[in-house]
Amino acid sequence: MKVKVFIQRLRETRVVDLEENSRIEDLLKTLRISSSEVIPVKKGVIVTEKEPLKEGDEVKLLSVVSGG
Amino acid sequence: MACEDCEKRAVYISLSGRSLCSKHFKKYFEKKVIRTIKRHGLIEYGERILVACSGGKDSTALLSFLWRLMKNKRENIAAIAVDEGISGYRDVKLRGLVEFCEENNIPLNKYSFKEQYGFTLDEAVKISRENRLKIKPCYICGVLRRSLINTYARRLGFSKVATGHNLDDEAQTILMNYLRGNPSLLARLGPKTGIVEDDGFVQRVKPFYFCTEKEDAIYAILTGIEVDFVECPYHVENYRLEIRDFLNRLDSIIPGVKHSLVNNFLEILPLLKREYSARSIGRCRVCGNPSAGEVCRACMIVEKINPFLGGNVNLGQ
Repeated sequence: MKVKVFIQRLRETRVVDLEENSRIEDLLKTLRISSSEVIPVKKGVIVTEKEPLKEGDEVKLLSVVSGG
Repeated sequence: MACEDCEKRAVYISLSGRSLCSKHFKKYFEKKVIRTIKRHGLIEYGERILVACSGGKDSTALLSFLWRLMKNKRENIAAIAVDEGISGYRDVKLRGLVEFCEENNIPLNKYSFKEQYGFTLDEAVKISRENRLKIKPCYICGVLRRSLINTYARRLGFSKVATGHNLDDEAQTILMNYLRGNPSLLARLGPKTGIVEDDGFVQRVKPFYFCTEKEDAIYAILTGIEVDFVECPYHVENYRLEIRDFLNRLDSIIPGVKHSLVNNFLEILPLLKREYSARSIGRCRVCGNPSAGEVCRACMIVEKINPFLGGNVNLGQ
């Protein structure tokens, strides 16, 4: 299944191919992003890494790091 | 995933596996901060607290939290901000802070490197690069900012300076100092900084010490603090960035590694403080601030940059 993801730190949107029944944590593993670096947001609300994903979902990964 | 306290949708899973909705996350976070303040004696009754604000999420969230916590003693709290002169970065960040303080009627004391030292950080970095002075931007910024905040905290009569440093910041600093072999700098860390008691120093305290950067960011979002993620242009030259990314990668493989690093460090901190507290502290012959050497690090930087500016340097004393 395909999921659209906006990575705030990189200011870019990607379409990621994931296995069926994947969760946010699988998306992070695929993107090689540490869970401690981002806040996942789906449909405008903060969700956990255990949030299930389905075909066509749109996810934002807000960056938690602030520089300096 | 549901909150384990109320069945609402969870926004966070703690290291111990607790899933929490926004309301219970805020409770969990604030309880942790209050416990840190009490257990480590960060703020005593009646103390005057100056919150060092960068305009970033951590310090703004801390200011917001302490402003609410001290609602019956608001004459004892104020904010301080330093504009180092980083074009396109600090000016943007401080605009948000000024608005936040105005909306909440929080007194904000704002100073700049330009007024105090005669140059902006951008100018100092340019001079350093063009003349091969080999002073790194983060070193200039950190030393001058700390010196300025200490000077004004003392002058304005505050007993503590509260900073928004979190567990990630502390884990990074501990590892950086270990790897560089700086045990005396390690001794200055902890929820309450400093190893030497001196009238010239205003102690710095870190109420968010046991909160992760992610927890800080979620708390900031949930309490309505606008979080922008503009990164400092000098950040890319920073050793801390490498350590931060390394620790985050390690934390994905070994969850809780940053907590372990900080907690284990706190076990040896009393020994480090004892070892390094005996060293006496003098006064800087230029500005009069406490200094281990004849001239403090802030004045050493100013002395190096100044000849390329043509004078007019005010050390803020």
